[in-house]
Parts: sequence; structure tokens; C-alpha cells
Amino acid sequence: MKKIVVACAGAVATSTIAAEEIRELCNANHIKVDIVQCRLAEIETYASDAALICSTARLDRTFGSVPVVHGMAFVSGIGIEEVSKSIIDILKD
Amino acid sequence: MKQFGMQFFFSFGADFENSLHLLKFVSDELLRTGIVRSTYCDALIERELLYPTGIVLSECAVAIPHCEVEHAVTPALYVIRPSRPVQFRQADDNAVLDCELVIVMVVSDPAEQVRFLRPLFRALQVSGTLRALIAAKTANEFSTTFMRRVALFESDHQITGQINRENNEGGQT
Repeated sequence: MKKIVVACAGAVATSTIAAEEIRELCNANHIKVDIVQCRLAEIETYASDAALICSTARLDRTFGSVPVVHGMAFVSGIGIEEVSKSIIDILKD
Repeated sequence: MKQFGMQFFFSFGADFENSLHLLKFVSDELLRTGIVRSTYCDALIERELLYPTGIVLSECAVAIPHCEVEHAVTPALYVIRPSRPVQFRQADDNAVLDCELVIVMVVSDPAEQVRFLRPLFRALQVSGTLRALIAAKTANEFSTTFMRRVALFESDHQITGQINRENNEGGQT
């Protein structure tokens, strides 16, 4: 089970959409995931054992070695294939 | 108009000086109709300042202002086609976007409303949806185009949404 942290400013709208898309993407690729949705400020609380962090808002900080993926593509549709591919690549290992 | 478990409002052809003017206009009407609490207007404006909501979609820029759930009473969507683009800052960049469409989202329960928000954004991502909305000549054409486009994706989503929920429930128990 891999943990994914999906964040946006208020955990109200865009990260909820991104989280659903990622859940479906992982289901389709038979990757078991535990998705935690949170606000930007709360990422540190969940990041330590995460396999991936996805943010739909601008994120200028890093979280050790945990890879960060930009998730606005799940809302806008622009670049969604590239983002999906990089998420799968990160989780596959 | 109520559909998909949400209340819908439309504004077509109104002129807004700037985003603040638009957000105040929307908040006033949402408060008057009992959709939001009295704290909503300030929360919406502050949230937009701190975390702007302009996004670049394939056919135009759109803003999706929203704020925390505690200011909402009933889930709603306020869809606005202003007479001229309104500037909003970009959510994931420093740019300022000329938004031709503004969708104010009143979310009271994210887990529930994502079942509608996802098909909404799927509809907006599909080529032709935004073009059709921007090309609408009348308020009626605008609102019917919007509802029709979203309905196409909403019905698709109900099925996958249900499957997902079953899977999740299975996984958690």
C-alpha cells in the first residue's frame, strides 16, 4: 500500500477532484494506494512515509526525498497524460 | 434551478469592474437566497487573495472562486459569463488571467460534491464546451448549453462513481 498526499489550499475542491482522478488511475493500474487529502499547510504532517505528494496549488517547498507532482492537470485537463504517466512511474517501483 | 444535488445560478452579460466587484455581487445574491452564511463574502474574497483560483483551460481561462465549507449552507454553482473578461490571478503560477468564464463553487461537503465537480471539469476539458459557452448569444442559450454539457458527463460518472465508492468501502472496512 503506497501513501499519496493530495493537497490544495483548502482541501475543498481542486484536491478533491485530483484525489478522485488519482484513485481511479491507480485502480486502473492495479496499484494499491492510501490517499490522504489535506491543506497545503498540513503536508508535513503526512509527508514522512508518503510515496508521492500531489498539489494542485503552487508549492515552493520540498519534502525530503518524497517526489512532488503538480496536479492542476487533473482539473484543467492540460497535460493530464504526462502527469498520469509520471505518477504511475513513481508508484511502480 | 436545482439539479445534480446542487443549486444553479447563472449570470450572463453583466459588466464587472474587477474580480472583487464580481465576488461581492455573487456573495450578495447567495446570501440573499440563503445559500451561504453572512461570513461567506469576506471568506471568499480573502481566500481569493491568498489562494487565487484562475486556471488555464484548453479554450480559455476560467476562475473557480470558492472557500471553506463552514461558510456554505447549501451546495451551489454560480456560473458567470461577464460582458468582458475579468482578471484573476492564476492558482498555480504568478500570472494574471483574463477569465471569460467564472464558476463560483459553494461546497458544503467535498466528498459528496466531488461526484458532481468531477464531471463538471471533465465537461469543461472537452474540446468545444468552453467555445460553445463563450459563443452563447443569450442568457438562456448560455445556461441550457452549460446544463446540457455537464449532464452528458454527469450520467457517465454516476456509474464509475458508484463502483469507486463500493471499492473504497471494501478497502476500508
